[in-house]
Amino acid sequence: MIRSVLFLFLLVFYLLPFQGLITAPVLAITAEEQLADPDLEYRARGLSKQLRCLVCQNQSIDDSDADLAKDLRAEVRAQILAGADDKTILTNLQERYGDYVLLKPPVSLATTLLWATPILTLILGAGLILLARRRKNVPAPPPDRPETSPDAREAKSEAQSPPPVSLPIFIGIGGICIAGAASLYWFVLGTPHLPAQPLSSRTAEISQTTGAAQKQLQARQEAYEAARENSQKQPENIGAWLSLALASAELGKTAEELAALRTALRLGKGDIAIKSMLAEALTRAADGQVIPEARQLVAETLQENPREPRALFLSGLALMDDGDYQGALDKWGYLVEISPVDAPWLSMVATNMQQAAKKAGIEATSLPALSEQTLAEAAQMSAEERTQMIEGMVEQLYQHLQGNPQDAPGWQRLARAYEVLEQPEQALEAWLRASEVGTNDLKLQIEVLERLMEAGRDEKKSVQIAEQAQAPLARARAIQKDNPEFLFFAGHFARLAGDIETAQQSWQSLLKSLPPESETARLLQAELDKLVP
Amino acid sequence: MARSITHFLPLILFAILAVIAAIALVMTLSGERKISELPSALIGKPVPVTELPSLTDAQAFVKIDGTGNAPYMVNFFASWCAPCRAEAPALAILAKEIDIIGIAYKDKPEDSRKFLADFGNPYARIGIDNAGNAGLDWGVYGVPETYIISADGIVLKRHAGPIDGDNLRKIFLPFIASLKAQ
Repeated sequence: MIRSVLFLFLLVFYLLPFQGLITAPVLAITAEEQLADPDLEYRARGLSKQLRCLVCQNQSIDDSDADLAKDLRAEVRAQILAGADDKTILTNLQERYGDYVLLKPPVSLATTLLWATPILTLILGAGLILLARRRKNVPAPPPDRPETSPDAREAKSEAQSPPPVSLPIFIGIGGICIAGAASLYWFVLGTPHLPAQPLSSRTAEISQTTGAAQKQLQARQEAYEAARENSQKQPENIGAWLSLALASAELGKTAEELAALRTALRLGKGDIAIKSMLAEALTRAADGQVIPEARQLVAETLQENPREPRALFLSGLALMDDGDYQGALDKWGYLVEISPVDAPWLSMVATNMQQAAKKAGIEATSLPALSEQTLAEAAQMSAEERTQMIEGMVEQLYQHLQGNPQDAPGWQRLARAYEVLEQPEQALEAWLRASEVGTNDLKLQIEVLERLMEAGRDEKKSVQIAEQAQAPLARARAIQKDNPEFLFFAGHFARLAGDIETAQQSWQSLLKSLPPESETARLLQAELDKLVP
Repeated sequence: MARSITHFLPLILFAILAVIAAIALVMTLSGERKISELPSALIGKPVPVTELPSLTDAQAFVKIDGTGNAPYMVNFFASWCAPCRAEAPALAILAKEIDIIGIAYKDKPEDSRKFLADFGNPYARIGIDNAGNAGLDWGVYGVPETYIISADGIVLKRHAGPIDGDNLRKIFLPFIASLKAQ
């Protein structure tokens, strides 16, 4: 089942031009700077938003790309990791950089006037109202010069219109407006105990028109709308529900994400890939606590596939919750062991292991080689040094594989390392070696086929690739006979080789196994139509 | 009478604001009020205790703390900073009057050495602050930045930006002379 879900995604991504739907948010902060623990990172972001970037002056350090802002962000995170609370961190920075580093001015003698302005305005307004009332009660002053004739006096008083009552009313209304505006200002924007409102958060709320962040939010919103519509149109399509879950997660709509994942899980009849996704979403929704339902899902996932990284990570987290630090360390140690060298979750796992080790009182040196320190060192390296480090690891691995050519996971790791080094040809070769020795590993064979498919995009090599793909395809079919995914691969590589007839046959029979109204079927039909010149 | 005051009230308020604005503008234009001047929190406080590897002696450390028997200056510089080159002549003059401790901020040691070879070395001692941590402790915004420290380790003055001939004559030399006179 897991394969067919993957297959749906694969098909969609292959057939649709990839339009950069998933883009990173435009942030000053880079991934390397962030703390692995989401709670601590959340705190760090909150603090960063309250601190002024001293060289740009009207940006918070969270928004600024300046070097100093970067240093300050690192300092905030270092102090958080050292266990300082928010107030202490702000005070520490204030001691070095002065009040100016705080975006919200503190109440002090120098800022009294600033904070008191609304109150003073209020008093001014009240004063004007009083003045207006007094004026109303005072009769109009008698004319200071005797008039020559009653007629002339009459004419003059008429010429003096508008009537005298209009001025007090005018002042009174003005006073009420000023007083009202002042108290509004004070209670909504001005009191010292209100949280700081850095420019970025305000503009994000106000401006709905420009800015990359806005566009991205809009794109996410649109993707979400589309996914929701799609899932309603095709309530039986797992891919649609998974897309909806993804889009909801991006927008932080946790409840919808969970609902979509549950539906997908029901449709997928307990597919473990979806199970672990749901477990992760539940954990995220519970602020990092692995609730019983998530634990159940994790247990079920690991029963079926003891190497599922997400589930392994979550099970370690659950053990941490229970206070079994050694158990958590073992789980995560195993996860590190089986993960490829460039797996994106490694740094997060390493940080968590460090914390677990600290709590358990275990010396950090007894941890596996990929400690936080190593990773931090790697992060500080220049691109050149990093490449050197990976090359060193590749060399070691290569030597090891010369002695143990039957080590399929080893070849897999080597292939991934080559991919990181952007040496696609060596990578492909390593994949093919992995496929040769890992004949029983269906997942591996499919991974190899995917790599071949990717490599086959290069038209100059397509025929050669199609040939190379035959062996892995045969191995995959030997492991699992009628997986519709293989029909897709068979058709694809046949087309690459120029064998239109086989391609048609494979895809025709694949089409029969698909629900006729589904999007996938429609896309496949379109590809089939293209086969005929 | 009351009526004429309310009549003129807005005008009076406007006039007061206009006068305040005009004073601020004149002060800014004449250079008396510096809108770009950045406040420092360290003035009047003890120096942040700083210990850095020495640029000139790989085994030694440069330590800045409250102990000392004469006032001194601390100057943050970097080879990549153009204004630091501009203030090199001023520092050379100041070095005759007072000890200057240099801190090579976010700079590779070999680059710092080349910089000093090219533009002269006014420093009594030089510490390496490659990561910029000392800069954070001192509240440095950017290089160059100069601090004057009293003999008992209190930060007396801070100057952000290059020391040019004008503020050398008007600020630094008189200030150092007054320190020595004490």
